[in-house]
Amino acid sequence: MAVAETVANLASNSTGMIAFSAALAIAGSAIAAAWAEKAIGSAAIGAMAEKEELFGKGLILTVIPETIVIFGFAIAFFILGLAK
Amino acid sequence: MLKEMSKLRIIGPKSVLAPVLDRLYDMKILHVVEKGVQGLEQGKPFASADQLSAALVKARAAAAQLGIPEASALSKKPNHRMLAEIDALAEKLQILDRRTKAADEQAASASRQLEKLDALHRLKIEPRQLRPYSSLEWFIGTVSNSALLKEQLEKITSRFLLHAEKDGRKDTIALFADRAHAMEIKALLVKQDFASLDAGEVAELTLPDAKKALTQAHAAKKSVAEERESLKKSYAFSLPVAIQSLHEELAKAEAPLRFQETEQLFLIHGFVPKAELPSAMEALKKASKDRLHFEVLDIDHHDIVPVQLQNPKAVKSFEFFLNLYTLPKYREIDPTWFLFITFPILYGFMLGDMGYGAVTLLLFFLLKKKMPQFSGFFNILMFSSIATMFFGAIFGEYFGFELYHPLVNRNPEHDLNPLVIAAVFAGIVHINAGLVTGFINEMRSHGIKTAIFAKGGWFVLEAGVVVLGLSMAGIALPGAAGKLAAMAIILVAAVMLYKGEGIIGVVEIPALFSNILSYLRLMAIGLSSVGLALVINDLSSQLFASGGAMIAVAILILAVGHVLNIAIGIMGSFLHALRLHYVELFSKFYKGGGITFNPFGAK
Repeated sequence: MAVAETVANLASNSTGMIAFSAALAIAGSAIAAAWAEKAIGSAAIGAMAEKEELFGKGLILTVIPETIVIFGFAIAFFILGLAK
Repeated sequence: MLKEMSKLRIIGPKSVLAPVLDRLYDMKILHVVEKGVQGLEQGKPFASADQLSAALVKARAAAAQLGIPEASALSKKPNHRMLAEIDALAEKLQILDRRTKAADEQAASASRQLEKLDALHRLKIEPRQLRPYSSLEWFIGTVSNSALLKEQLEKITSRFLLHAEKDGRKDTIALFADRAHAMEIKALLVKQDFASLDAGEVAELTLPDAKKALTQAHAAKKSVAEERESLKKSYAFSLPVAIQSLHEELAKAEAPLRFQETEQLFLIHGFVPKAELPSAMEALKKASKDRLHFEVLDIDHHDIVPVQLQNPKAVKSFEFFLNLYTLPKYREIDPTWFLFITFPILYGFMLGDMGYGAVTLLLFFLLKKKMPQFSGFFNILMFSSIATMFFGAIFGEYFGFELYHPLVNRNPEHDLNPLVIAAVFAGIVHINAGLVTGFINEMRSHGIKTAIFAKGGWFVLEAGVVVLGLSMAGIALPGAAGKLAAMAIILVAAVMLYKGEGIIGVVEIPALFSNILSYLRLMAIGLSSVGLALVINDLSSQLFASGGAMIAVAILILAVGHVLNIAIGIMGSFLHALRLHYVELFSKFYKGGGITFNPFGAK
């Protein structure tokens, strides 16, 4: 009941919807980035165990998906701008 | 900057090879390459190589056995005395080894005998009673259950004597029984898991004898250990010197394997830093009594030229990032300067707090004093901390508190648009600087035409986007005309990129914009750090206001919170600044894959 009420509350109030949308943008992109980094990170560690010099390259590959959450942040930021 | 290299060929008679090698080894300026003149034979190692390598193995084994560290700064020419001494040492160690083994065995057997004598003593049996009898059979050992055994024995015969001693989970027994029933008794004992003590072995022994034997064994062990210790003391200095000397001499003896030779001559190919070439040739001439011929060859595109980075002291610290990733190729621009200038700026932009900058500057200064081996790394962080203080002044942040109205605002309560613009602007500047560098790189390696198509295409693309933006904003060429012009320019850019970099270039077009947007992290990381600092400050100021014991809690929250936030801030800012260089910037110009200049004689 409490959840339904909260959602109804949010929906009836445009600032709430805006905040909710921003949170959704960040949450979705953060999960996506984390998911991608998880797979790449473990592969990179595996490669490093074989050949330590791969640290630099492993680091680069691991952080590439970070851009996803940065985009999510940018979108959330612009959505929040609508509230003003 | 990369040191300029010269490709050198040295030709000389084999008779002067040894002195030339000595000189080359000491100078450490020639990076030997194995590829040379086609059709010539590979050189052969000096005849002494086998002997030297055998002696080196022995010396290393001796050092390992004695626990002497191998490192030594000193070396001398190995001579027969040195080799003989190593042989003698190896032999001494072998004898010591054998004596240790014998003493160990003696000690083990003596303590085993003592155990047996002790067991007999507990069973109240004299060892000399244990001799062969004509009518009696005796068994000494352990069984799982002596009471049960006794019961079963009684069923077979009454002519037996059983002493039993409870000893943990097993019972130690001494059984004397009629020889006539020996077979049946043996079968019974097997069922009872009988394990014989082999007590016959100690029949001739007495307890004092066994004790004496054990003491002797221990004394022998101790004397061996003492001798080993004295050997260690007397060789602690000379053995590492011998190892180093042999190592050097072996490197020289095996060096000809990387050269070429004819019946009379040797040929050495390699790279020497250009600045050091004249002095090197002079020194080699002297060493060979002017019997060498030098040829300085042209470096062509097939040559894999080793690279040696050469930067001023402050900039040199940033070579760390290239060693971590990959070194530039010989003809590429060394991006160390780039890192030196922009890494601290991007880092400072993200952390940007006067207080945090000052604290981390002090921290890294102290860490550098404590761990001088990582001084380069801490130099990077100290430069970054100074940049953090600079940006802290711009953002007006002091441990999250806003002391004055900032130049660029980072407090989420105010307007953040200038910060967004600043971050994207930083991205545009950084990436364009990368493209310019890429243009120069391309021009150097593939000529001006490729450079214009492959890298210039990006500038045309940006121009198209600018025209599009201006038109849409209504500043210039409003309406359809402007949009058409922009589309035309972008199309030209796409064609140029296709010509310059192939289909990859066209596919990469959107990446340029995602790369620039990626610099939004400059704002994002900073905001999250500011957000945490604000939470910490708000929480503690509320507690301060309530007074009393809460003040202590407030101080704790302030201290722990800011320490944690600084730790997260350092890590985040460092990794993200590094990533912006490696991914966004380096993809515009840097290929890497250069090999390190590793001169003959270097460790």
